[in-house]
Amino acid sequence: MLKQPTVPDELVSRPIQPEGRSWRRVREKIGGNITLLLLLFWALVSWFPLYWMVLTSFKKGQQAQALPPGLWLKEPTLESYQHVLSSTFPVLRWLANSLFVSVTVTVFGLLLCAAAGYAFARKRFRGRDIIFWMVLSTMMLPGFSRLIPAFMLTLLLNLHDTYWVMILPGLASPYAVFLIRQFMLTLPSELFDQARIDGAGEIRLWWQIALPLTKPALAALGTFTFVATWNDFVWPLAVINDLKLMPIQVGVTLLRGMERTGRNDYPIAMASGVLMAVPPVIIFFLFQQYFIRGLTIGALKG
Amino acid sequence: MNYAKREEMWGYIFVTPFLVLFLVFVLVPTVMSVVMAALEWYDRKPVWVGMDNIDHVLNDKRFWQSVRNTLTYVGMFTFAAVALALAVAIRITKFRNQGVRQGLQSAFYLPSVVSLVAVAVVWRYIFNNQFGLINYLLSVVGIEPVNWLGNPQTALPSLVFMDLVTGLGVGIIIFVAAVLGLPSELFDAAHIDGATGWLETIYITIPLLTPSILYVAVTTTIVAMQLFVSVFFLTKGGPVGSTLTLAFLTYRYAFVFLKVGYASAAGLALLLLTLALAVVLFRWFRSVVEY
Repeated sequence: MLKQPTVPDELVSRPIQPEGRSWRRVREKIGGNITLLLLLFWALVSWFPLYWMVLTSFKKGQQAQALPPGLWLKEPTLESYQHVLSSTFPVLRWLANSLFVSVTVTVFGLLLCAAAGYAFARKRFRGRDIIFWMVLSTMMLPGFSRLIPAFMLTLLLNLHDTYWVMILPGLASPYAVFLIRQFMLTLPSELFDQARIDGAGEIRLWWQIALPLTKPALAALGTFTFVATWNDFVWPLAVINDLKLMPIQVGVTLLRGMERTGRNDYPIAMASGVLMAVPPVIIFFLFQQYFIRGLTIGALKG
Repeated sequence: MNYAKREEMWGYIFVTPFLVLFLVFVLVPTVMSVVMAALEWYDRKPVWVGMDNIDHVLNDKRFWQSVRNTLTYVGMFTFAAVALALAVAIRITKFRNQGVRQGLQSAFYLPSVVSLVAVAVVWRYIFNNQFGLINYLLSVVGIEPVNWLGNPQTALPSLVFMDLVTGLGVGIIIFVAAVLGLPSELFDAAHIDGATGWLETIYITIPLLTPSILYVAVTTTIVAMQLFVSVFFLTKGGPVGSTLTLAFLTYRYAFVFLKVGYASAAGLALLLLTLALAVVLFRWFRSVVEY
């Protein structure tokens, strides 16, 4: 199992007792505060664009060009949201498409990858190591170099402009299989032996023993998959042309203010931005602990 | 059926659904990305053209420009991202309270959860040369407005800056976990020898983190090599090609000029270049690490 790393005290506190060295303590204090200030400054900088997006989405077109720019809300208005949601484009449908595709990919992708990870970790079969090595080695390749081949392949399979083309390629994630395998390798064999003696079948071993014990990894991967699928842009941009099937990321490029922004369009563009940012942020807040742990399993155990 | 046979059968049963999709959507496209550089398509039918696409792309000035831009971007971004994430992460580990550490990790991760499409549009507003925030702040200190995205000198660095602001989350989380996982005995020994603060960070923490640094550097490089979304929304490759990246050129060949063959050749270049960079990084780190 994954243990939450604890910090040994020695690592944190550094008492320096001997006299005559207090200058060093002073220097450390100052140095520590400077790095703390830098940390807070960077946190501020990295949150600022999001704050700016939310704030601007509640402004009127003219206000968004005001100088000096208003750093907080005066006379908030929902005009931009009304404009986006009542546009002639099916914005709500796009949001629903994104939700449907992301949830489907997350649920079925996890099941497929958890089954494969289980086989790689706990079953012996011919070719296992070669297959696993092949899966691993594709993790190092940039996904973008598969864009054109996958585009032609799905074109020849007549999959363009269907939900399938957004769902199927996302299901087989080498990263997920790798992570789940690493996790399942650490489960004690006695558990499985005992259950087998008690008469559990193979499916039950997987479903009732292996999966529940892998929950932290599955939660992390689920969050990760949902966010990545929701935010995916290039692939649906290439393969979806039907207005009704577009996910929100692609759909918004047609809205006013997205690809080219006129003077008064910023609040509208920001409102679209907020609408597509909200679901991943909610998911992240719900599962943040798993998410953080999941990201580190792959890096530290690999 | 004996036990081993049954084990084997169930192994295949569990792995097959994944394997089928993996073959179709990952492995086949990977193999195709090599083959397709030698094909041109006419009405869904491939025609073998040998080296023609590769010749064309290698003689295209824009290709070399895009390679230069991509490598410049990757160099600036990866170096700055690893250094900044490392600095922030080490500072985070100095907090004794686990809740504070996790809160900070989440806080730094959150911006990377927001879609790049949304982020890119906010930044176009922030970079705007008339009423954008950056130019306003500069005007307060008396600096002339800069046309950040419209000037070939500043456009690519602006994209680097934008991606640094949003893209450090993963690196920070991995580095924090790595620092907390280091054996404490080493730090005890260093304390006895009188190492403190900066010395400890430079001579103990960072050298011990080399494997994590390599991991973050390689994954960051792979992501940065594929820079597309911010170019698509902010600059369209301009001004005068100063932000044309290999990924954006690939996309343009295929979907604007409808030359799938050229796009495949450019895509293959992206693949090979990324692999080459990853190998260079591995080599370089191996020569640095002395265990």
